[in-house]
Amino acid sequence: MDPRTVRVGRADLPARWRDRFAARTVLARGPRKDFGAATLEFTGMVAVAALVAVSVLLAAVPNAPFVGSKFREAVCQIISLGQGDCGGVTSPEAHRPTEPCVIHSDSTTSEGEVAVIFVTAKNGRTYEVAKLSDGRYRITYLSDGAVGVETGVGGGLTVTVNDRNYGGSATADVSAALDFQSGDVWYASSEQEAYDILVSAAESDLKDQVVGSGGPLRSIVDWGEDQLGIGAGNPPEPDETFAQGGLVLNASAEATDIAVSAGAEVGATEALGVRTTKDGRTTVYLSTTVQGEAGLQSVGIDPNTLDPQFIGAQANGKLQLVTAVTFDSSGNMVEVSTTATAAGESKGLVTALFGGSADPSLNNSVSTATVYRATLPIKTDADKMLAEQYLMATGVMQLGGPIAMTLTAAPAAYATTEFLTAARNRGQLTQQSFDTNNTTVVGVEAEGKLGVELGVDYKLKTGELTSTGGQYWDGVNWQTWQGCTG
Amino acid sequence: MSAHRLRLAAAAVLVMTCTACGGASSSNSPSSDSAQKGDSQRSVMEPTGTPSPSVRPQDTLGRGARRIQGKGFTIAADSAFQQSQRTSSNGEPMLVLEHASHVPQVPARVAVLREPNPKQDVVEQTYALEVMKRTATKATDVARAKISWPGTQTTVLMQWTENLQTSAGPVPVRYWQLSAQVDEKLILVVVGFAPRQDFDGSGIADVVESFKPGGGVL
Repeated sequence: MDPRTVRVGRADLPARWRDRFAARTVLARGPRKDFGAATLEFTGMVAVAALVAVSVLLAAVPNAPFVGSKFREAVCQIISLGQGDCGGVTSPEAHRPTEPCVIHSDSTTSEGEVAVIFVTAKNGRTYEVAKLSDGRYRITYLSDGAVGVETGVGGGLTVTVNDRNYGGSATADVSAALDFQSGDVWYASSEQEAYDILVSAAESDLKDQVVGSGGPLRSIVDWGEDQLGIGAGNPPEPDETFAQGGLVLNASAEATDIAVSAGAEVGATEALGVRTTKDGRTTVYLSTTVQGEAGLQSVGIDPNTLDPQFIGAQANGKLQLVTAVTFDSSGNMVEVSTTATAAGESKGLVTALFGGSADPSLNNSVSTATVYRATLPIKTDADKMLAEQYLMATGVMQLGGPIAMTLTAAPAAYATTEFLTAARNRGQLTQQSFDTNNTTVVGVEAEGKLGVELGVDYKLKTGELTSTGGQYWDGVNWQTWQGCTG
Repeated sequence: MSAHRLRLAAAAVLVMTCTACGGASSSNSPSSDSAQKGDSQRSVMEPTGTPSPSVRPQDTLGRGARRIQGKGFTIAADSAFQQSQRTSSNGEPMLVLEHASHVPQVPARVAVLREPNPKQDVVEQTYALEVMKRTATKATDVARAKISWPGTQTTVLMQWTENLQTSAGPVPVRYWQLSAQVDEKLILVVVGFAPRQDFDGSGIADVVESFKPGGGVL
């Protein structure tokens, strides 16, 4: 046995984990006068690490993804220094997703409750209209260059909602939405309201082009319209605004070398973009590639020996997590969610990690895709700490200001499974399945981008996409997510 | 004709009339500036800050400075800066100029990065950057401004200070980031930073201001 390895039951705690604890202890302990205390804490951490190692293995069994929850609860109490609401299971109703899901179709209408259409105004600007599962309509202005839809409709714009045509022909192209970069979003409670927003936005576009978006001429035109009772007026303030970044958004991190991760198993974290809402909330989207020691390779289990299998990660088991961190108007972190797509080679990994339908064989050949999302509202200090640990473990070092380099900084495997467990117990865990006629799903390699908010965090090169069902975890079982089936 | 089309037509007539009377400025023409696209929807994204101190392109080189040719740009630095070449995450070359600061873990550094075929322009991307820095990283002294820069369509300067976690603890670091939309197919980004207390004497401002797009292989 490697003398640098700590033996813990059936599991060997790699020396690098111990070293990491030690390194973080050094970082956190500050002045040398604390050295003695730090030594005691380190000793404690070795014991905790033993618990953690077992916990991770328990959490990793796909056939019983939630066994060990009591054990993890105990570990969580230790890790959170007793602050924690670590295992409190809430009522099943509390787990029901409040956000509507969206089903994309490549036709102008769908048989289900949700339709997505694309409206291209004469100036080439494109709007997406979606009917959501909660009955509302969502109008999204797609920024220039994001879509290749050039169909002009003449005389204004054309809308088709639920087979009802307004004007001429509508344009539908599902790939447009999945490739959408940024834009403004309005929500409407009725079809008429959606239409009014569309008309006003299109008119505003027309005026922008001719007299500009501001200044005296624009004021005169707006005033004239009011006086004459013509025109639809300017569109209301968007409910949400998305902006996507590229290299510019990540350049300072690259230049500073802070894009490095918490460990070799976690790839560089890339900032994808932001969403701001009318009420002052801001969501930051990040993409992280995880593999190797992040523990995700051990999500497989040999059904005969009950030993961990490592085939997931070894077989190109790279996993991309899209993480959304939401802050309120005062800058407080209020919610963290992470999304992963189980598709292609990542299917077994993601399914096991998120506690989806068990697939002991970790069959990676299935071409269908399932989008998993775990959401944890931050309501307690313990959950804040847990979320910060998860963010730090996945390479997000700078969010929310300096994250405390606590002695309890955990390995990525532990932090990830703990975060998902907390989301299952106190937040929301959903899965939505899609069939696609395209076998080249980009899947988690996708630029998940802001399509996350459309309910699909990956991009299809071509082809159609149909939701075959959605489920949410009610604390005990997976339940049907009404309205999420096409 | 439907009522909707009638309204649109009337609005269009009013718009055209006002245009004829007042003469819309050519700068409002969508073809004159790609940054004008999106207009009212994007107004929230437009930079409105003022750089501090003021930043402007400089032709004359400081004492001891030499001009360095990068891929699609030139930039000048004195002999205190050591030059190296790296590859950024998109596979493009990244020119790095740096010298030591009083914090061993954080040098004074200027890096020039390239983004060919960007999907978003510099206005949108720097808006995302500003929102992220203000909200998520709790950056201070944040300013984002449009600057006229020869050889570019649109250039946005963003300045901020944020704490970097290092093995020596958090270090306040001052950043300048010049994002230059050379054309629709190329963005060049100049990032300069140093520990806050070193920044003013680091020479980074001079290096950033010496940046010139063009020249060399694009």
